[in-house]
Amino acid sequence: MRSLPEPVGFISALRARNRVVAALMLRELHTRFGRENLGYVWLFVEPALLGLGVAAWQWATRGDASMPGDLNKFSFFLVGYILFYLFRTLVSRSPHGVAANFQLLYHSRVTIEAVMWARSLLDGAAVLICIGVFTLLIGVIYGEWPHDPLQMAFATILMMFVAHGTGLIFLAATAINPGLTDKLVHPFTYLSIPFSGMFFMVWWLPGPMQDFVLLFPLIHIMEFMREGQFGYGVPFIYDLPYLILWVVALNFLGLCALKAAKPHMET
Amino acid sequence: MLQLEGVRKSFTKNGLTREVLSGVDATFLPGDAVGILGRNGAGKSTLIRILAGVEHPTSGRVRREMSISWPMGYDAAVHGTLSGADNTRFLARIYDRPIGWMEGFVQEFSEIGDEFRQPVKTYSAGMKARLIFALSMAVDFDCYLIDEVIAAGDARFAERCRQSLLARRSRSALILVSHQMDTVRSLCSHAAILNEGRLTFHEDLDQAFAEYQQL
Repeated sequence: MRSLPEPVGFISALRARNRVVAALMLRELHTRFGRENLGYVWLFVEPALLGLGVAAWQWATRGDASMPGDLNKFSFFLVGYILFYLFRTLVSRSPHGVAANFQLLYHSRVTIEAVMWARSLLDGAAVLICIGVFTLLIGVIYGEWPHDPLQMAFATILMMFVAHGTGLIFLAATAINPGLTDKLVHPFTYLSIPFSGMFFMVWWLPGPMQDFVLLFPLIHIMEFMREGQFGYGVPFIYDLPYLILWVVALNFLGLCALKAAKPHMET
Repeated sequence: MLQLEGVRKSFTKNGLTREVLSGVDATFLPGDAVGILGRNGAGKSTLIRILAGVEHPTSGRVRREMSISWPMGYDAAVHGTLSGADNTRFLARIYDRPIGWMEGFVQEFSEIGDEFRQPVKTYSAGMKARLIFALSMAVDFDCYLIDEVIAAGDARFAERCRQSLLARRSRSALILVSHQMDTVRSLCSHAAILNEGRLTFHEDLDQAFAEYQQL
């Protein structure tokens, strides 16, 4: 009667965790979009509409002036915005990570880390598919096929990781002051726009400005994405090891902060 | 095994810090059936939420080496906008149970009928309680946490809950928090008293009840 259950091995623990994340992704689809109207299609429609809107706006206001390096104006802003959208949506929703999912935490197998993972993976996959579809359309319409689609996918995954780590830090901050964190996250994502490279490339800037913007991780991802999108012809300035250092540091810090914040979180 | 080591929990509201648990040590093994008695506000719900992993201790450690149920007695275990069937499939995926089997089991055990396909928020309190209990039986946990659930639902279902829990007492642990001695006596083999942030175990139920009445 008083016997202990078998200890759980690493592999089976990993499999259990993957199962939980997969179940959470399906559930997030259900609760966020339901089965009515377009349902899951909304997952792609939101970034697509926003991307098309920004691209159309830039295309209209810039008139006949051609882009530096003669890049395709429409695809430049379309892909650029959708990539930034992934950062914006993941970070701005992160402070509500616990409050919006507190029911899930009643199941001891579900951790807040797994909940956040499921959301990041779901939005990451949606943006990846969205960029893929538009890349295909641009190829068909303009005859401009991407230089390296795999590099574009890798850039999207890097963006997901940067947003995920940043989101974890914001989530941890809600334990200290939920109201303030929620207010700060929106200015933060807006003020990230000038440092994201959404509207410019690094080589358009004067030297000292280049060094300054290259301190921030988002611009490296954007340049890396555009190299995959347009290929050679214009300079693409990024530092992959520096970017990966940011990814590791943000995620490590985020997980530590979340661990420290857990005892103070209200559910 | 479910073990607490020096668990403390305090809450800060409006600049005032109140310690609800001040150093709780406990070990629960499969087959244990423990009733935790405490007056209103003694921290029973906080303790059971920490056992379940909903909340985390301010200091101290919780070791979970068996599967622990959600604390029964809360509606939070299911999602209101999803149907009973959706909730069932979600839990089947999380706990690795055959999805079709679990849907059948839960629909039959909970006696919900066709409303199983309707959103949980349209259920009556009794139906919701039956659904949540049926789900926990289908998952088959090593340890059941119960927060006065037996009061919910009608008398017939309450008796079925009691029988089902008694039937698995040999393989599952049972932790029940209550302020009523009758509930503890009907399900538990020993008892503990939660008072002033500390937990005291008693092997003998009558001894525990006598002490509880003096509080």
